[in-house]
Amino acid sequence: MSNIFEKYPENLNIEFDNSFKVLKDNFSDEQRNEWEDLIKSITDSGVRSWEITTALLKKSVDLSKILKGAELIQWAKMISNLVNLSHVLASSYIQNSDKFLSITKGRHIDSMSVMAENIYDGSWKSGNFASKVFDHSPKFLKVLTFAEFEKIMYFLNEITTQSYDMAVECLDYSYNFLTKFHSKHTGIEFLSNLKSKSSRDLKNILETSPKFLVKFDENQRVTLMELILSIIDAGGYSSSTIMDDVATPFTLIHRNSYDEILELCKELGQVQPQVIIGFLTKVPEILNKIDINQMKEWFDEGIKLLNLNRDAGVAYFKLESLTSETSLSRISSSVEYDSVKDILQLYCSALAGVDLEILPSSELVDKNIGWSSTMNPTTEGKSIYVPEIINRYDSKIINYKWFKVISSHQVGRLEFGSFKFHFDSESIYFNNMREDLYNDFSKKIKTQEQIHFPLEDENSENKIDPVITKKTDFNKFFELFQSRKLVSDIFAIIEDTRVENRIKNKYSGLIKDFDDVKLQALEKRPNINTLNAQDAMVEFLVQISLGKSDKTKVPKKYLDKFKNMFIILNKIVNNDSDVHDSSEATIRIYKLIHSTENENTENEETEDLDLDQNQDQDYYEDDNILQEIMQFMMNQDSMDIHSESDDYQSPEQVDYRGDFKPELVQLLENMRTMDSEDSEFSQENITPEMLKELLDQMEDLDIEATERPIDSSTDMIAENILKEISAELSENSKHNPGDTDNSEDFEELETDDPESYIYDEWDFRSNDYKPRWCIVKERIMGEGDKSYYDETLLDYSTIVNNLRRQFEMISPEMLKKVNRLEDGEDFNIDDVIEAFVDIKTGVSPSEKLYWRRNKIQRDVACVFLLDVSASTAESIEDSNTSNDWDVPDDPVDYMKWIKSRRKSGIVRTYKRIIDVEKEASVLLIDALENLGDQYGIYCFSGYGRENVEFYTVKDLDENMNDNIKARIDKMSPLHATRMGPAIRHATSKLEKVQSRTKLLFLISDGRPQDRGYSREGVEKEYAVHDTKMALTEAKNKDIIPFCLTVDKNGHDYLKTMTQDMGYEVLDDVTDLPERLLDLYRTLTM
Amino acid sequence: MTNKTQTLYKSYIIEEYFATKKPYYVSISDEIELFEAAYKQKLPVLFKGPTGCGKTRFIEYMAYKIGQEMKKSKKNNNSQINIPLVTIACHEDLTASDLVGRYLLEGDSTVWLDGPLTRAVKAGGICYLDEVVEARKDTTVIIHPLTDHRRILPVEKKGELLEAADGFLLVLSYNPGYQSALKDLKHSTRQRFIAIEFDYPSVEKETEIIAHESGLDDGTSNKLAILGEKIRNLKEHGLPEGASTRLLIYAAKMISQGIKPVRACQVAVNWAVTDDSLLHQGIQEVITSIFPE
Repeated sequence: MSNIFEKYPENLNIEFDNSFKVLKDNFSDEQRNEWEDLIKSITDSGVRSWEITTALLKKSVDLSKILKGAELIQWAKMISNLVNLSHVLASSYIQNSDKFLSITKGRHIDSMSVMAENIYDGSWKSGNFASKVFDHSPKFLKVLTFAEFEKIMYFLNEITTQSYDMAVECLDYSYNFLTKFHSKHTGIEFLSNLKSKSSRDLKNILETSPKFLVKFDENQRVTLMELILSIIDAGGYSSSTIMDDVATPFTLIHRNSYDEILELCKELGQVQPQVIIGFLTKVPEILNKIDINQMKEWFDEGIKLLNLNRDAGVAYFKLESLTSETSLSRISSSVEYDSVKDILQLYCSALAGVDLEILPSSELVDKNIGWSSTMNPTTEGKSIYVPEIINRYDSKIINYKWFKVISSHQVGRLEFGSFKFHFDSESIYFNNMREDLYNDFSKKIKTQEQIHFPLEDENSENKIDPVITKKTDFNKFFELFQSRKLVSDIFAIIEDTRVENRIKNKYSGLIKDFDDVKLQALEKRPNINTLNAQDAMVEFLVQISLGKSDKTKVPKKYLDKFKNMFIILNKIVNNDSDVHDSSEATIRIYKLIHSTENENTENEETEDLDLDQNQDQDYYEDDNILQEIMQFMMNQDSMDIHSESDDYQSPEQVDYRGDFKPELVQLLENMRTMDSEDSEFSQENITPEMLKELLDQMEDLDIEATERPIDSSTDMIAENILKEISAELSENSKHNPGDTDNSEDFEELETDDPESYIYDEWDFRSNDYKPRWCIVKERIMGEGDKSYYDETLLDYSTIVNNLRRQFEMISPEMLKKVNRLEDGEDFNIDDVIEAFVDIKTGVSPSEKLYWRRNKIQRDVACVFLLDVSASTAESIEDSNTSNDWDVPDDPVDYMKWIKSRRKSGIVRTYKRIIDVEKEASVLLIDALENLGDQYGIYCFSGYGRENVEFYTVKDLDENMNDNIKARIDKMSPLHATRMGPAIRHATSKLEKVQSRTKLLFLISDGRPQDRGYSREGVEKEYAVHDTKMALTEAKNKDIIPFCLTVDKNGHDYLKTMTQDMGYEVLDDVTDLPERLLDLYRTLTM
Repeated sequence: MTNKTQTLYKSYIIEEYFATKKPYYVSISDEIELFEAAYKQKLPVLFKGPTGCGKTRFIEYMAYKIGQEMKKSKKNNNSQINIPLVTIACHEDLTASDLVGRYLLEGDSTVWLDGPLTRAVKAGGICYLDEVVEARKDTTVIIHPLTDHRRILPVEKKGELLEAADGFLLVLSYNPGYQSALKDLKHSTRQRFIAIEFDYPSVEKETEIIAHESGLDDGTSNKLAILGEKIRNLKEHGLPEGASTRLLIYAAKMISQGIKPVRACQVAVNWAVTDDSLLHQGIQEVITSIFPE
């Protein structure tokens, strides 16, 4: 045993000897000594250097296979250098040396340690980093050449000048990153470029990129990196998200288009790199509308624009300019709901003759009241729902036609009364069986019950479902059938056939469009012979409803049934059949199908049924047939013929016809007309339980087929329906803050307050005034910030200028030629002749023979009466977008809710009706001041008859001043809307004015309401009638009233309220300022 | 050969202008009975209704009809065989003398010339003031004494009071709606008339009217009538006035001249009722739905 290491633990010697045994063959004698010396010097170099030596010796055994003697010595030399720098460094070098040396095959022994020496600057952290470099070296060297590795390490080292931690992290990430590139050189090139920009970017990108890069192929990765470089080059982009922002859009589009998109980005990068990300974020949206080739067209236009005008181009690519959208929609063949809804709305309303809204289907689905498909067109009786985008065809025109066809079909259901089904109404084309069936059916149920409860005869009477009286007519009808599913399908097909035929007869312009769509639908239908018997029969119905008219192969066994079905369905096809004919036809076809076993018919013998030949055959039935059907219907549940066969399967939906839910729609309709006389439904007898029971029976609900993860149990739906209906019913009244207290004290009112005025109120029931009924308290509006006025003018500057010009145009007309004056510019020849005539005839002639252009003072006085009730706090945006689900229906709660909302300081980002009213006031003042008309602006609200608040913003005889400007700012939503007294008060103000023309503008947002003024039911009329009377009073005093409302449902009551006085309903609230002035102009000209 | 000048036009004296043929009119409800009753009782009548729904045609028809009935009842007396119809289209410069009459100079002397109203009063005809709100307010006042029990027309210039002849009746037409609130009829005027309200006819009747007026086949006429109905549904959507029967007849006449229905409706109906481009598009959709291209 050698004992060169006397001072050190014994193992060292043992270790040395062991290693030496292996190594000795590698060394020459000279080298052996050198080796020994080296080891010694290392061991002696520091206090704990012997530990390093131990590790070195152990490792040297492994290395002996790779390295020659000289190399081993060189290796040891390096270690001796390193030991002098740092033990950690040295040991980490030793630790990894076998791995990297086996990769480099013994080369680069020195460069590695030289590298470490360069990295190490004596600090603890740099040592740490250098040893990390050693740790990572093996895996790096597996993929990189040493030169590349060195390069990376050197520039990572440069990062250390900023932060070691960051450098260490980068070290970790960069391996992952580089492995994503075949040509590591590119990767490194990229990194070094990147580094020269900002090392922070480098870290971020290194960190985030690998997970994105896997989605791209090699070349794409390179391009992507180049892109990122150019974006960073351009500056102004935060690096932490850049990778995310660039790559995320790609996850939303198809891989096939990656190349093209990258190419486009590259092109864009050459012109305007900053906009790349903005463009990329929009790419998925754009590709939704147009395909990649069309996109190139769109893109080229953008580039052209970009070259002409930088800002315009940037906006174009971000899809933030109109040009961009127009060119997109021009190129795109798809048709969006948004772009057609206005036209369709007019179209459908014209056809249906009622106000219809066109909404996207998704909105109906969101309501969760029983509909679940966002793609299907449908209707719930009040609106038409269509898909948000149609992208079925390559041509925009045809896509649009599709929109027209689907909405025509839905309107057809409304126009031709698909939902106006009354159980008792007669069918014209068929013998009426429903009544008899129903009677027999009820009898049967009764006898069954008697069998079940023979002893409790009297009690059983009570056991009859208490809901029975509240059923919808459809419900009553469908109940007659055992298989709800089957009868629903049959009825839907028959009814669609009927409606389509009526459409075809009335709107011959639609025939071609419908035929095209039908033909396409027909091509997609399955082959009848592959289906089970019942399924096949229903499918057969669908196909003939789609216009199949040639020879059809049907199972021979059922030939007659098929033929009969065809004949029955054909009977519906005429000019005046209605839904009741459909229902009778349903009974007959149901019998044909339900009496058939749903067996597999694939191997059945088939025979051709020539539909053309049977076209003219009339359906005939005699008493026997009727009797047979009756029999069948009565015993359908006791027949057990379907036990062996498969259950009946509904046919595939015909897409353009959409969802047809007659039962549900009728239920909703009934609930909408709740409380009216002819409805069996009333607020009291509708409970969620009862609704649920009705819903449970419906085949209409596709509960399992929901596309969205919403809770669609019938409980939930029932609750939503109630919510929806009560929202509809109280649309006007939900914000009525007056309480519904019935105990109105019937006393006349008195007041001593000088600013209070007492008015009568009209009671239409007693056809008389209630004397001294309301107190109007007049106050001057508080003052807010007067800068509001000027700011508004600024905001509206274009409109203001426009309006000013229009109002100035009124002025020249004020210069009127006045005839018959004693002095003036010239003779009026007519008058002169007349004078001569008079002289001749012996009458004393008039001396007024002159005319002159006279400035006639416009003599107009106008009062603007603004409704500032609580409901004006509503957002003017689509109510669906605002989160108002939790708005309490009860007025008292509503006020609390509003208050709490205000208190909690919810920042209002939306515009309210009151804001538009305020803006309108500003514009009014601006325009009228220029014109010089006398005008006053007042607001009114109040609670109860003794508290009608009447606020003066600008009094009639007040001159414009800063206080008025400040008052406008203060206008805010208050309480209820008792219109009558306010109108009377305004009238009395106008009465005192000496003017030839007096106008009273009433601007409101809903029907009049207040405590004891507008309760539900009859009392609603009370308010309307009082208001009407107040307006009539004004009219009789030669004041011209005009009502302007922003309530879309305003037509019904405004018609009664104003009769042939003028009124207008604004479709779009934001039009108010402009429209108001427009009206003012036309009315006073 | 002598070239005789030939009169290419026909000219009538106001009192002698009668409809020689029965004007075509389809009654909508009981307006014929109402008018006959009013005529017999000499109650002035006010027609209310949208433009182009047949007010003017109705008065022509009634003048003819009443004239015919009189002829029957007074077989021997040929003095009054027709009821003259004097139609005055009112405009804002229409003065009282335009209605009543004025002196004209003729050489050195003057000649009195009766105005149309005076002539109608004298001849016992129906005087129809079309769109009376357009006239100046002072002109409407001179008709007041004619409309109550007095039935007189003061002719101030001549210092005469004219008592209306037996058959005289004053009829106004009036189109409520809001053209201008300043041009509303005064209450003192309005309350002197019984008011007959007109509206557009039902689809069936309108079909009949269109077919008769234009000579178009029933099918196409029916489609036009449906179109009219549908467009009128849009009145609440910003359309100031629905498509009048007159416009539908225009369209029908265009079609009968060989213009394609879609195009004919576009020019005769769609572009006539509104200038709003959205409404144009909406209505055009209705048109293309009803008529195949």
